[in-house]
Amino acid sequence: MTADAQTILSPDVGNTTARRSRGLFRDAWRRLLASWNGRIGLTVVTLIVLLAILAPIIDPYDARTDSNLRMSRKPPSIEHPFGTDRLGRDMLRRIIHGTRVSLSVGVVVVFLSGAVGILLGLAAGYFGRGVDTVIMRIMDVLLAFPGILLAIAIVAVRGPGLGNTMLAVAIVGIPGYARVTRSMVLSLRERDFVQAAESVGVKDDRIMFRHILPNSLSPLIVQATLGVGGAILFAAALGFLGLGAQPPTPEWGAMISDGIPFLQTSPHMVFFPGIAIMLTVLGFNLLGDGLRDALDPQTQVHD
Amino acid sequence: MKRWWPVLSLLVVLTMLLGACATPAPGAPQVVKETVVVEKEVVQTQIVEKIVEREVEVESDVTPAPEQLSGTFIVGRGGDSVILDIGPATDGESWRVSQEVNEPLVRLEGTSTKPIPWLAESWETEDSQTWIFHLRQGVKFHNGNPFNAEVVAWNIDRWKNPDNEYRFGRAFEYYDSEFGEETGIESVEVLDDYTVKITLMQPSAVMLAKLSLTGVFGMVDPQEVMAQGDKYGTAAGTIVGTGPFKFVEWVPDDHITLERNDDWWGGPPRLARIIFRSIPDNSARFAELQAGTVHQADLAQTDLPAAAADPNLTIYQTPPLSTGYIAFQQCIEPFDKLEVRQAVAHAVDWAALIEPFYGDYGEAAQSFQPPAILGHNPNIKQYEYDPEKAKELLAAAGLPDGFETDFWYLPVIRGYFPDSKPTAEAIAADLAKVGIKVNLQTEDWGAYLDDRNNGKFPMWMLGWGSDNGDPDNYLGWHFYHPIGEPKAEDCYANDKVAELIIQGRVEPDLAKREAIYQEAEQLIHDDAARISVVWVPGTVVMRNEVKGYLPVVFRSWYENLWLAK
Repeated sequence: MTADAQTILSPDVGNTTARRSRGLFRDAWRRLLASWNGRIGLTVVTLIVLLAILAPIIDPYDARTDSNLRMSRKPPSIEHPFGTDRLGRDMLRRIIHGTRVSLSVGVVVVFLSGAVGILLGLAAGYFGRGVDTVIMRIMDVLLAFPGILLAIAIVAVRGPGLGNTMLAVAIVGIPGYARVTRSMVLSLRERDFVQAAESVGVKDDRIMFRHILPNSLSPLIVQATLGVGGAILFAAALGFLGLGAQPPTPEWGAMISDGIPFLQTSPHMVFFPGIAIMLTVLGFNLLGDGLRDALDPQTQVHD
Repeated sequence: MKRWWPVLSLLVVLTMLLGACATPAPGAPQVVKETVVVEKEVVQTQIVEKIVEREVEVESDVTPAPEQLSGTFIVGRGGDSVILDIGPATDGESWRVSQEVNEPLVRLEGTSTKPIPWLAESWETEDSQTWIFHLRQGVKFHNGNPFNAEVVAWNIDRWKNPDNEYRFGRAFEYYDSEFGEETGIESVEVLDDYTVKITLMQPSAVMLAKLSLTGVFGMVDPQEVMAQGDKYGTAAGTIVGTGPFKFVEWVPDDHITLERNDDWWGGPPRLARIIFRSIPDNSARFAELQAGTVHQADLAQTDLPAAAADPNLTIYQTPPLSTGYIAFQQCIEPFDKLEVRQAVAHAVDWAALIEPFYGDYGEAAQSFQPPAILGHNPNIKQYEYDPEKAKELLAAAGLPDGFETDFWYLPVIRGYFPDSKPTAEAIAADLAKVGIKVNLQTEDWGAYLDDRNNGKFPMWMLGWGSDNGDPDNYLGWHFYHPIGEPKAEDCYANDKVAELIIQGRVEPDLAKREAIYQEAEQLIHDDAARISVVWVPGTVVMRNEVKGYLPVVFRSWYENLWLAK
């Protein structure tokens, strides 16, 4: 298909801001930077991603051998700005290296549940009827379970550990993507460009992946960004319950759980990982909110 | 596009400021740290001083003023006694009352578990199978009946004979479990009024420690039991013994009162009364202790730090009778090699585990048996922390790059490992530093004990608390195996150790017996069959006005206490 045909068959949704059409995503980027939510979210997320990428390069860390019992539960000091935990490990160091764990959980979970959820949602929305009924009822069943309970059940069957945590949180996240995708597909497949493509005999898979999916991306990007924060929080909750990442992995939820018995005497053991979780999730949520506003074709760039 | 850069840099600055606020200003944290350390040292010093002071009091026998001899000592405890009939009782709350009234033939020395004469003045045996006890003369029960050889024979028959008509359907579980079917008392013979001959089914030197179980094998008055029938030892009846305190009343779920026996053979006790009050709620009991309405209280572990901070209370640590250890499956690689076990022993800073995981209530173990247990070998010192030596040992064992194995930790809280998962993490980190990668594992408690028994764990954590203070119940319980037939649990096969334990079971001479267990303990240490991590003391919390207390094992020491106000 030529570039021209592409333009005709799938018109740029961003067209509504007709003044200077620079494409949906360039407009969205401008709008994102114009909003406070977007700016703060983007900054926090960028910092955290940089931290996660740079940490092992600047400060190689082997959690397996990290311990210094003679320094157990020391309050914050110059050498240990966030204090030390029960095994005498530097909290700051573990929190920084914990960003890698949390971010990889967030990204892997969103990728897994997104991939599966989008495929299911596409199929359900596009084929309708029996396919729709079967897929969406399964999604309803998944939704009917409280997420944390479902995740605990999955971890209980497969055993605790970071991999299984990611799998569990991913499974819990699938219905969200499926529903968003399906609703987008339902509205898009009645649109003229889809009808046109059908009428000239374009195959189903091509219509789904080349015409419908690209036009459904906006809400999915928002869903995914918010999903990263949700997944991090969820994984931390499982870690707190002892079902997530296993020691000595520096996982924030597990670190909080380690500190709970010493809330009175060593509050820094709970405080700092808690702050880390809060900032990260807040960052992703603000970014998600910013993206939602930015990607909504109805909003105008106020500049 | 450019507009958001100032915002970003502002945010970075703000984040840094936030970080700076969260971290106390430079200099300040060190001051705080110092204060904490100093306070702690002061608290510890206080405790030590008090213990010393009291030991001195006991030794020099400082006598209280006459007006201090009429004190009523009140004990706050979590629950009521079940039955005060001393033989059938199986719970500590029953024992702690009845052991003040009914006394055994033999007791443990106090700060050690060496048997000493009590109602028996002396004993002799040639072969550890026939024991002749010479009883203390002139001892009377609280109702005036005499204590003599007939009484001992009557009591022993009641323990061991299921058809004895004065058992009132009560089971004597502790007699059954301590003496058992094949190691029980064969017969009792009254040689004269104050001499009794006990013949065992098999020779046993452990017999003395068993008889000294002070809450179980106390002597009761036959006349009284026969007269009261099945009311004896219940709240509807009374109990009668020869002890320092006489039974007064039992109001179920409320209190039990004992009063001084002025005619006690050991001289009149200094307390006029003891009241055992049941206060089920932990915090209520602690509050009463702080308020001074009880003088001694059993506290929850979590209340101990607050008790330590209270200037009116003293926490006494009784001599440890429990050991937390690491064990190995020695039939499989790599723990079949002595060097590998020694490498593990040298790789971990065992002493450093005490402060974070036990605080003030644990002592770095040197050997398997704590000092209070007969046969403790004071010459054994813990393997010293030396990672380099551990690496050399691994290389000598042909494993220069270390190895990987499963390390099982307890799924439950036990006094010897109150926090087993983080303890295991700390051990794992030290092991990883020399190249030993352990995967931490656990499972349900029941399955854990079973799999341990069946030898399924390559390396695991567990512990032991003494039942009767005897080394056969400590060293013997863990390391005895029929010659040439190691136990499935750890597959530890050292026939010399097994032989020593068999000798120890029948050696009647205490000094020789001690030497036997010391030798066995040395062999076990040299084999690195277990790594002893911690000895855990018991705790007794009393108000400061209680005087004369000595932290002893298995006993309350009430006959020596008095109240300073």
